[in-house]
Amino acid sequence: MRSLKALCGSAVAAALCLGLGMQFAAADEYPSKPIEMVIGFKPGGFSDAMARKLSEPLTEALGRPIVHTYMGGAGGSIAATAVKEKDPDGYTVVVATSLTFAFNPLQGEVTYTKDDYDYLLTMARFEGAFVSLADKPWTDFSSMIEHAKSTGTPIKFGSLGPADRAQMDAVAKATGVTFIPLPIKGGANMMQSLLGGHVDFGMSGGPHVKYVNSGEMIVLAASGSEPLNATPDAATMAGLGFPAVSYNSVIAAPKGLPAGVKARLEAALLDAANSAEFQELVQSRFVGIPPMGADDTAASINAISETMKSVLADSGN
Amino acid sequence: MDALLTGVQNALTLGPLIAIAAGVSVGIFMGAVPGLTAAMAIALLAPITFGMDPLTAIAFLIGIYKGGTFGGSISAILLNVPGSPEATATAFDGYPLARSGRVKQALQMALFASVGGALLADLLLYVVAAPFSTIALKFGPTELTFVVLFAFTFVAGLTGKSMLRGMTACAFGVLCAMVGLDPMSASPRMTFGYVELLDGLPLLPIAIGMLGLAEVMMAAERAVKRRRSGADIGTAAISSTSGPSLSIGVFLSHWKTVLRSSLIGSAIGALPGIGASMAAFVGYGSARRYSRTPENFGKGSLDGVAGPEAANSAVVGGSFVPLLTLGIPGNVMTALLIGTFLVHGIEPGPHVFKTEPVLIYGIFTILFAANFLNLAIGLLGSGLYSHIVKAPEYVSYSIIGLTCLTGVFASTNSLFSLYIMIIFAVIGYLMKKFDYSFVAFLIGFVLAPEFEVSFRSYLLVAQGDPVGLLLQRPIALVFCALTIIAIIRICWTEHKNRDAAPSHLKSSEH
Repeated sequence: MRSLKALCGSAVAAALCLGLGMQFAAADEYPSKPIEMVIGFKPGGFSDAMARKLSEPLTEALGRPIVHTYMGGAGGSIAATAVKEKDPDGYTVVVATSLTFAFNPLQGEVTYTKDDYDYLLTMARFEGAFVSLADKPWTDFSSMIEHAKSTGTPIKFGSLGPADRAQMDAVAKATGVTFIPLPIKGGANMMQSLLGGHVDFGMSGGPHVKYVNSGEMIVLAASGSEPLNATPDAATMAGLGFPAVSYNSVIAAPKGLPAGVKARLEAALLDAANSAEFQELVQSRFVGIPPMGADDTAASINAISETMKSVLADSGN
Repeated sequence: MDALLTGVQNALTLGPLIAIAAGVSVGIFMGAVPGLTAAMAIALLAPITFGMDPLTAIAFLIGIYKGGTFGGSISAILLNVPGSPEATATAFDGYPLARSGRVKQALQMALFASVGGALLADLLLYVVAAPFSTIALKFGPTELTFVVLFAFTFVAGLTGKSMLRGMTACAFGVLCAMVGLDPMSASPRMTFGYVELLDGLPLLPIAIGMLGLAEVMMAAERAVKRRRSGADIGTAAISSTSGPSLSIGVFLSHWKTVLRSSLIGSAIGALPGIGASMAAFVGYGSARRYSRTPENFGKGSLDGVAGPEAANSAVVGGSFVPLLTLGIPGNVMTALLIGTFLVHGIEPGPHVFKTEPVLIYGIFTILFAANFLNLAIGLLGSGLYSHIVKAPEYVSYSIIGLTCLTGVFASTNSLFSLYIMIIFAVIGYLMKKFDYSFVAFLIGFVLAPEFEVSFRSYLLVAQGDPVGLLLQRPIALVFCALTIIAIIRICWTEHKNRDAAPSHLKSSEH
């Protein structure tokens, strides 16, 4: 299967090269052919929009087309698994999240580890926040915990995935409060569950901002250790002394890129991420951060992995 | 009132109308080709609308959405290969109709029912959007549990000849739906180490395998048998003509099915996260349940085409209720539409009726107009497509087989889905051989995940007192009562049939 896939992949790449009338130049003149960008999400979402927007300035910087392949599913793990097997020649990169690399391997369901990749770029950070309706008897995360402690009532928590559930397990263990985790599919359904009162508070990656601006919802805390863009005054989980989980949008390549290729690719990616058009897109959706290059991204993946290990240990899973 | 008139006027200008026509054509094409979906078309083409004015851009995308919902039925009827997941139920009776030489009737029934269902749903949207959205918000895990349970009773009649075999097939469908990450604990179930299975088995490869490729295997077997018996080698056409057209009178005689399915589709569309596939199955099930000739279902009943098509098209109108009133998308398509709305500076939500009334009425008008263009463009095509069935068997089945393979690969870009499709083609072939209903299997597979999440969430929220919680939720209580009534009715009919059985032994078997 793998060889078939590789065959298909190289056939496609070869056809593209021929079609565009390109010639394979010497190997030291990277890049000499189109670069395949494997997108770990289904087409149409915001992550896809970011990858496609980033590709425009990237194409200009590298002088070669960027070919998109969609391999959505399992939180980016399907794409990451496929890319791990590719040659580390700089012609295949994968777009996924920090949790694809730092958390999913800890769950023991995938065949890669975070050390199988060369990290190149962190292009955005999702506005990960715990939110609730404004008319609840609390105003932030701490007062919600206090309220739960004093009344002894369990709190219904809308969860978007295993990472936030592990995080809340750790909070429950540390505070003695009981959470009832309810799985919700996607941010839009989360808004519906919050507005309809089916969960008391929930995890959200951005759709809550307009409800916060209209006064219907409040942000209890940022899920990570960094302040949020839209509501910078909200506390962070790290600031409150709880385990913090950040959701970054990351680009990586198979481990073992030649140093020259890696430097060229990193520089081009950083330029693309800093371009005005890309920044306009991410800032309009409150996910903009100063882009991080290869070393910073690798360090952040390591840090997130350590945090997630302790989250899993604290939550007793 | 001024806003209404201005909105209608704005929508009925050349730009938006051309955009709708273009969108509908793209949508029908993308829907009809297995592996390409209307959602994919919207995702890929949305960027080219960014330069248009908002109404034209939305007209184009709504055209794709409407055309795509009908388009999936074309390949379902002609090839037994559903072009999109929600057309799966259309194949159950559409394909037998095509095989028996009534292909034009089947295609036109699918088109008329689609347009009729969509018109009714859009009318409902226009009248009840605002009050319905507040009710839809009240649907939490408790309510959804009983809604899905009620939906199960609609499809209970679809178990084939033997209830026991039907239940076995349905249970197998439920078992297959359990593959993937456990929704509550996120631990993998039956994934056997394949990362591709973490998200569960995909519907489209399974439906295409069980319906399309399994049919090719049956045809191959028939051809081998014919050759052995020395008969004329399988050059016989499936059918020599595409049959007569569907007269308006015949279509109108199915008004009850269309109306019922439209209401089902609108309601399901307005609920978050359930979707068009389930609406189509429930529409099919209810059409059979209320039919005077339920024994014809599966053999080529026009009601069996009208039921799912009216329901899955009505979902479009229904899904605009939460989209426009709450800014909440109910499915992938509307999620993509919201993205486009935001690009054009329209923020859907409770305030949009006050801040942008002209635009909202323009969108309503476009939804209506798109139905008529869908009808016109669909009719133009139906004469053309129906010639496909005149091809000799060996040609058409080769094309069906190839379409199954390319379609599944194109939709997911992965060979893994292809293997899944082939495995389920073999399972589907064996199920047909041993008379296990693959319809019951697919229903179990489609309904089980929604039921599991709702039911387990309901039990968690109830904290050990499910009855107490149920009594506090009036909407859930209503659906619980409806479910019990439906079950009693089914048992009663079964009982009566069994009493009557000795006199006409086989005719009354279910």
